[in-house]
Amino acid sequence: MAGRRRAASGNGSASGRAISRHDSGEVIPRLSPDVGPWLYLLALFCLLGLVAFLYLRQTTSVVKLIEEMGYLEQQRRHLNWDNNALRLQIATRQSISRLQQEARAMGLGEAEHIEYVEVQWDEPVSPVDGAGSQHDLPTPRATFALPSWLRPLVQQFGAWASQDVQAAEQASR
Amino acid sequence: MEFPTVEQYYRRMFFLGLIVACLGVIGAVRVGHFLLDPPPWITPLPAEEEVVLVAERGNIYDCNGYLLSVSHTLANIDAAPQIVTDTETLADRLAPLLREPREKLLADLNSEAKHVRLARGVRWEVAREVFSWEMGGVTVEAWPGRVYPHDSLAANVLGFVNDKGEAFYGVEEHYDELLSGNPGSRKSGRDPIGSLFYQVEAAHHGAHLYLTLDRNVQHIVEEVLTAAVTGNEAMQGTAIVMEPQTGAILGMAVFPTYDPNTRAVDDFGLFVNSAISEHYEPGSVFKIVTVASGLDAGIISPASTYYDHGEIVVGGEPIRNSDNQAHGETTIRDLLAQSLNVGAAHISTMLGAFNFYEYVRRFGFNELTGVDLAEEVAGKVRFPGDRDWHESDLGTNSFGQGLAVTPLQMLGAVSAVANGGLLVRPHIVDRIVDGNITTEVAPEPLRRVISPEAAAQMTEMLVYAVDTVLSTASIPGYKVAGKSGTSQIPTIAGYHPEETITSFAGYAPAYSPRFAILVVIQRPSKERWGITAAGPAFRDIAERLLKLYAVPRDDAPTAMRLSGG
Repeated sequence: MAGRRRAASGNGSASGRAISRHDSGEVIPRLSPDVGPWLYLLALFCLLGLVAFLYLRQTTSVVKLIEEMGYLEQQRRHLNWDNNALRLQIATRQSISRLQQEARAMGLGEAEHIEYVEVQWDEPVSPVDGAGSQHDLPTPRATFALPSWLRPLVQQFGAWASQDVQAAEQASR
Repeated sequence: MEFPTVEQYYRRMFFLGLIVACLGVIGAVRVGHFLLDPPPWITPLPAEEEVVLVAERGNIYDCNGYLLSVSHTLANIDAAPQIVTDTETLADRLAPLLREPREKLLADLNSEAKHVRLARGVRWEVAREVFSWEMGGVTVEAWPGRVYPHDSLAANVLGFVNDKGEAFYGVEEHYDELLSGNPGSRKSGRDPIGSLFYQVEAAHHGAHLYLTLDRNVQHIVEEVLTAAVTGNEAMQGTAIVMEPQTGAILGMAVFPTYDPNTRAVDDFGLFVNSAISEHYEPGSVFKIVTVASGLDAGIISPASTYYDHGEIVVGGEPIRNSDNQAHGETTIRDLLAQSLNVGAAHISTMLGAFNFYEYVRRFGFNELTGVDLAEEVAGKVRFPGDRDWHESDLGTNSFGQGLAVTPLQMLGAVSAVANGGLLVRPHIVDRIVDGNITTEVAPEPLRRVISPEAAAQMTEMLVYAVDTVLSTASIPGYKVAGKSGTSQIPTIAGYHPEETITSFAGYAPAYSPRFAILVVIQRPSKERWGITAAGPAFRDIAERLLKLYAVPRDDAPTAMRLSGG
């Protein structure tokens, strides 16, 4: 055993490789500079592996995203198509010919004769020579008499409220 | 503890290195194999891939938001009979859905063919149902289609889109670019250093169009026109309703028409919108232009008179009244009411060729109206200086013969009289909704053609014409302005002895017009005059529209004043 240690020691010193000696006197071989290239190769492999791993991971995630987006796009498209189908269904149900058919099926018929009747109002519709809409309602009348000094003021306020500037000016005079 | 010797150490290191190298080689070979021949369970990398994202075609609505034309996914349903296992069940399920006889489907599914088409162009809701069954051997192939929910309603105005997505005629063709939008894309590729990139450009979907067309008006116009054409055993009919102040087209109908969903026609001429794409000789309706021009030029007034000998010679050609009678001392008002050709020629000769044709130009008969519909044509009018113009044209043109106009041009001119003398560009699209942007289409006055005074006088005379002679167009309670027209049909050997084109143009209520209406009935067999063939159709349309829009009666305020006062 001692001879082998010696031989190791001798070889180590001869080739310049370091061999450390333990406290107990045992010889521990240390990595010599000759091992370096192997180590560098190993490190390079690890580095390349890491890069390849990252690249594959990124590619996988992009492909996964593409697939997911494709799926979502398809879903969106289908929803859109569903929406259009509903819209079409509404339009078809609203079509005049269909409404007419349904109305006739319900026993409704078109008016054969329309007669216009004159609607008699109690008082003229418009204060100015009948001009104005026929749908105007008659002006409500006051149910109590105002004092004479208050009447122009109320008239002026009324005209101002209805934006009738000319009437407001007349009332103020 | 025993330490390894140096030899042992190096041996172990060598073996470790060998294992690592072997693993590396195996890994490299495996990656190479994977890249060159990817396994079937893995989706290949989408290198240099481009997917087109289809833009959806915009919809077309009427002025109240009712759908007239909608994009809809259609699908073909195919089957591979050799793959389908349970043909009986499949036929049972498909028969009610496709509305096909079960036996027919079963025969298809049991056939020896490799591939059979079970249905073509089915709607998406049906296709989706079939798709959801996930049955082997059945494929659903979807494609963008176009559906017209009201079938033939406004078909000639809308046009159509075929199965290839190509638009023809009407609004579909005119606004094709806007309706189509722009397709997007999804690109994936590799950059210079080999990294995968992914780029999405969203599709810009087509704009939605809201028309000035009112589907209720359109329905009324089509219903009345159909009755008029069939009732008179005519060949064809055209009717247009327009707002005279804005030029907005509320209804435009052609009969016979077609269903744009199926487009099953024997004659492709049915696709043509004769309201804008075909000429006709307007006949006496054109007297509106002649008399309005005379009034505007100040050479006549409603009360001025001329002596009607029953014939007038213009450019060497004698012109006679349609009744071949001499009417003696006649007012311009009666000229228009009784539709006297001699009187019209008298006015055009008084105006002179230069002035008369200047007014024809002003009314827009030599140009396109510019309506936003595809396939519009301009009128055919010979002007002095043209090689084929003859002096006699001044006489014949004055009562609407020897020239050809489109119905829309004619109605545009009538609208100009109705609105106080302004020629307005007719339009069919009211607003364009492109995403969040809404563009309103404003009315576009082109030019003043006659003075407001001349237009007012013209309205008064047209009301007089309806009240006295053209009573088929009068509506109780409303003042209606209108004029009928009957023209002969030109052939190679002169005019056809019997066949006519009848028309009626007018507006109501006359003094605050809401609608200008033109009805043209071509080659009627029963009634051959505008007053009897087209007049009643005009009245029916006008009466129903006045009710639809709840337009106050002209006599209502008077009645109320009398009862109130």
